[in-house]
Amino acid sequence: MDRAAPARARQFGVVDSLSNIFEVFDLYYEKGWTDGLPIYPPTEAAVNAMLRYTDRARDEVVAIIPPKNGAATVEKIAINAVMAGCRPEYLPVLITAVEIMVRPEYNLYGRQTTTHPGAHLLIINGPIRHELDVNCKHNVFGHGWRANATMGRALRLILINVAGNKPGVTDMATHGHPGKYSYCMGEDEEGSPWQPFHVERGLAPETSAVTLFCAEAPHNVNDQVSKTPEMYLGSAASTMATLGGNGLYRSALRGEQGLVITSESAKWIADFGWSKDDVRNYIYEHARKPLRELRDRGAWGKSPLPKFIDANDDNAMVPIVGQAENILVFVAGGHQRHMNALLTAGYSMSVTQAITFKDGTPIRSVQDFVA
Amino acid sequence: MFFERRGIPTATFVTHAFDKYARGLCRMQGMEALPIVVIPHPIAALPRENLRQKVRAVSAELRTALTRRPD
Repeated sequence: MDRAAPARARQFGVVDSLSNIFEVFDLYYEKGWTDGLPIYPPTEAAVNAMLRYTDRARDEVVAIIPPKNGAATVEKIAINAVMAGCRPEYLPVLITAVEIMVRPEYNLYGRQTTTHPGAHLLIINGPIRHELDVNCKHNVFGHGWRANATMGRALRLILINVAGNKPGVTDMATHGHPGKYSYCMGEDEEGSPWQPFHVERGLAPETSAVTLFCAEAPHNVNDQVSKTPEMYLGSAASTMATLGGNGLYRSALRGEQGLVITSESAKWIADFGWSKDDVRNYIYEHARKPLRELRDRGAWGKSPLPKFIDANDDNAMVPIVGQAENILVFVAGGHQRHMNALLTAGYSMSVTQAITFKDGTPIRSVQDFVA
Repeated sequence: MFFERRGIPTATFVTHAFDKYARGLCRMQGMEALPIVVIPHPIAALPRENLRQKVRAVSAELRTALTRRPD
């Protein structure tokens, strides 16, 4: 693949004062460098302040990002982070996210250019959630937290400005979804009766980690009444196995589907003796539709059926993923028994990585960089 | 692009709604000369015969795409 040279960012002669802020926004908007919202001007001072929170060189290439194959240098990540309104200490999260989004299993080229409405959900685990004040609870996909609002946004701006993402030109999403402005949540580890997500993936609880999961907009599952985990998760399974979702037609491919459960519900389910694996298995077994309902609609015929499904059996129950492990379960959200289904296109795998120093050692605190 | 890079001739079909997009991506990937055959939009859910008509109408272009060495 052709590699673009990691060019040093250009500088513009705009006076650094509040009276020029609209001029800066107009200029950046006209150049196509924003998501449409006002940006914070990436002045040299602001970018330098951001760069204190990394031990990497300013011009180090973190990733080559498709479709434009643009070089995401540390400096360019910092510039977009400033523009998004990030605090300097958010930078290590963004460097990690950029690094993992180009892993082959994430299929970023496809995710960036498809008509499907997928956005890059940034999931934060570990102590850094407290340091950066990442929202894990009430309104977790909504507004109100600077870290959630701006880290997800910074990732989108990086895709626009480094990777060539442009709606209707390289990004052919038919409708997209609001998470394409920002899509970021923390896991409510303290409220969870089960292992945190990053620990499931082999990291230590005290390690901070970033997961990227390319998902549609969250779809609420409201069940205030069910008295057993079977009935309650049955409501989630029904929502996840919809005729218009990709999962039912793509389960022979490598893909995942996600479910977000609140602390309150997770504890209630765990009180029945259920592990997270039990939840995953239940969803896998019950988020299904009989083959006869799928035939000749949706995305029928575009991908093979899983090998264990008999294509001649109209009553065969088709799952939304190929195996139970590919149902991802996160604990987050406020009170009450709502859940959220995070459905996907069905051909991208999430990626998790520890936030580390350049040498690969996990950081204990973002302040380690400035100590 | 995957096949062409390995020397296997291809003809990529797109509908005209995706023409600019496909050519833009080819340019970004350094494969500006990739042969693209454009047919009228839309194609989803078309009766098979209508789809065949759209493809037949571009059969000469298709043949060229598969046999001519790019400039």
